Amino acid sequence: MRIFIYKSVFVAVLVFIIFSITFGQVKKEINKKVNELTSGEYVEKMKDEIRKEIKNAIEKEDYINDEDAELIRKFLLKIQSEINL
Amino acid sequence: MTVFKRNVYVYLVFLGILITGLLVYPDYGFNMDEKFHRANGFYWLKYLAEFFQINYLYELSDLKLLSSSSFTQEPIDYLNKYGIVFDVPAALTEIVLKLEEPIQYYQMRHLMVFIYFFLGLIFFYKLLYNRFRNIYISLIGVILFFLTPRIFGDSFQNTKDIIFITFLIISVYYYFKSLDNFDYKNIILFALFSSVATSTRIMGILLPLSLILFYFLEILCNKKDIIKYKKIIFYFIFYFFFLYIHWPVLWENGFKEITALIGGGIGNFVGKTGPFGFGPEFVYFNGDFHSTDNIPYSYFFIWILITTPILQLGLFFIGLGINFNNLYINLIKIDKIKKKHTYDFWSNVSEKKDFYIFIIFIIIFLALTFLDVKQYNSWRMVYFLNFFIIYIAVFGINEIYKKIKNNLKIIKSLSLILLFFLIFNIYRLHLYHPYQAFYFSELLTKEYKQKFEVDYTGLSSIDFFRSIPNLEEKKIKVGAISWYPIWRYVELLNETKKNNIQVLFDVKRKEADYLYTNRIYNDNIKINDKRYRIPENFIKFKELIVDDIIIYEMYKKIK
Repeated sequence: MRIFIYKSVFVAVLVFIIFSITFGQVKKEINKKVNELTSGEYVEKMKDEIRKEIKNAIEKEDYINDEDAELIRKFLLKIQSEINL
Repeated sequence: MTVFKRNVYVYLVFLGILITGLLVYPDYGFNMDEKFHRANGFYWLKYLAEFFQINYLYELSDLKLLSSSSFTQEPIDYLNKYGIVFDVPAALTEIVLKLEEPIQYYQMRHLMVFIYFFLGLIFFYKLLYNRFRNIYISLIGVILFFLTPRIFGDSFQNTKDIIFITFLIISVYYYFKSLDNFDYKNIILFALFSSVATSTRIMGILLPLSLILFYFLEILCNKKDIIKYKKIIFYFIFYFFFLYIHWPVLWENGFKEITALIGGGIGNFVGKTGPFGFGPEFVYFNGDFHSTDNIPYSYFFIWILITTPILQLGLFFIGLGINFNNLYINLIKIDKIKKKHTYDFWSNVSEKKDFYIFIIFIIIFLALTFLDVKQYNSWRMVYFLNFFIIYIAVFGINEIYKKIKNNLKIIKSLSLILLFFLIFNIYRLHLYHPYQAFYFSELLTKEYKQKFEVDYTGLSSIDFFRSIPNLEEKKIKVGAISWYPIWRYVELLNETKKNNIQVLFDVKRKEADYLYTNRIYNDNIKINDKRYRIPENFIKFKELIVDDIIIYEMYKKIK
């Protein structure tokens, strides 16, 4: 009986450690990434990036090329006409 | 004559330790937890004074309690869950000695921590002597423990972890005594000190649990041992009784509070919020920021490796290797060889003591590593593992000694090597003084040391205040560019300086004359350092570097 208990404890601990250093490690890394992406610092960083991009857009003479500008104009008109309906 | 001479060595070593402590204790900085522990002391002193109707003491404690509140810490009703075994005597001493200056009462507390630790060292000696029956080996153990740098540094300012270590050692000593003689006196003393250890740190619960574990191992091998259940029950009755009478937080809600505290403690232990659910969200470890409830599995192993001197570490690994070998042999023997002794893992009480330390260390280490334990501040919350590490190191020394005891030449050579490492250890302690609490191993490169947090308790802040020029003469604004409540220790300054200083926070820090940073952040500054960026109108005015690690930096406004 006692040998069975020792073996069971030994195997259980071993399985737990192996599970931890394989799947557990992956889980920790995923958690770390998710935490980073949802953290306040990351949101702040993204806001800063957007602000920077908007500033760039304002400073540039031609932010959108003629072709894209035409496309967006038509698209907005289309939306406007449909909303008016 | 020999007995006297040997006793002289014991007295000399302890006298040396005591004198060292008395000489250096005023040099240490102030730990950011000290303020709330002081408040906790007065809170419970006031409560006790009211309970026993000592009006004079009640009024004084109330006044002191009011003076110890701060907007930088949680209300005392939230923080009062800690035991009173250090905080209340410290509060009472402050009143008895009429200490009114903050610098005086904080230094008195530092001295008291050291005295508790000194008491722990005496019991550590008694514990080692109880097991090894050799004065020299026991003394080497005490010296190794005393010279373990992070323990040395904390033994002058850490009012929680050091106190816990002390009561853990005393508890294990009485556990060892009860293994020699399982009588009611030893059981009661074991129950008393393990209850005190539990109220100091909830991790003390490991002591009664270990008793159950070893009882279980005994009855697995020898059914007759089941008869011991009466004394085990006796232990638990006294354990809860002592826990109840010395921990006033239980007086109000009784054992409901115990289950809440234990549950909360365990909850906090596995990263959930409990009554002790506070602390930073991030920890800087191995060059990266990690959420404190998602630390890497390597956390404890790396911290132990990089902050333990090579001598203690080397001896520990020798002892650990021998322990693993013994365990392996015992496990193999179970099936193949007819047993010569009653129990599977030990053949006598000495081996049982060694196995106890070894297996408890392994269980705690594996639990800390693999159970998603919330951790921060390096590994200070489990510094009690140093007790197990040094015991196992001494076990290693004893095993080596048993093999070479007939060869005087080898004994002398190894003693010289040991002496050399001890002197080197002392030199390193001197080099770090008074920041031994932030010690890093001699084997690390300068670059690698930068990958870890250092002054997480803000010990250096007092040095910053003292480095501000002309503070006696004019008004000066300061701020902290790190996660540190610098306000807490303005009270350590004299009246003039206190009136002249103004602490600014958040965006207003830009207007400060001097900025302090101990480089502890509660954000992942690798993603965004906006909150902790040094403003452009500041230049570095001073930095304190010890053994290539930056303890703190001070910046001065240039325009």
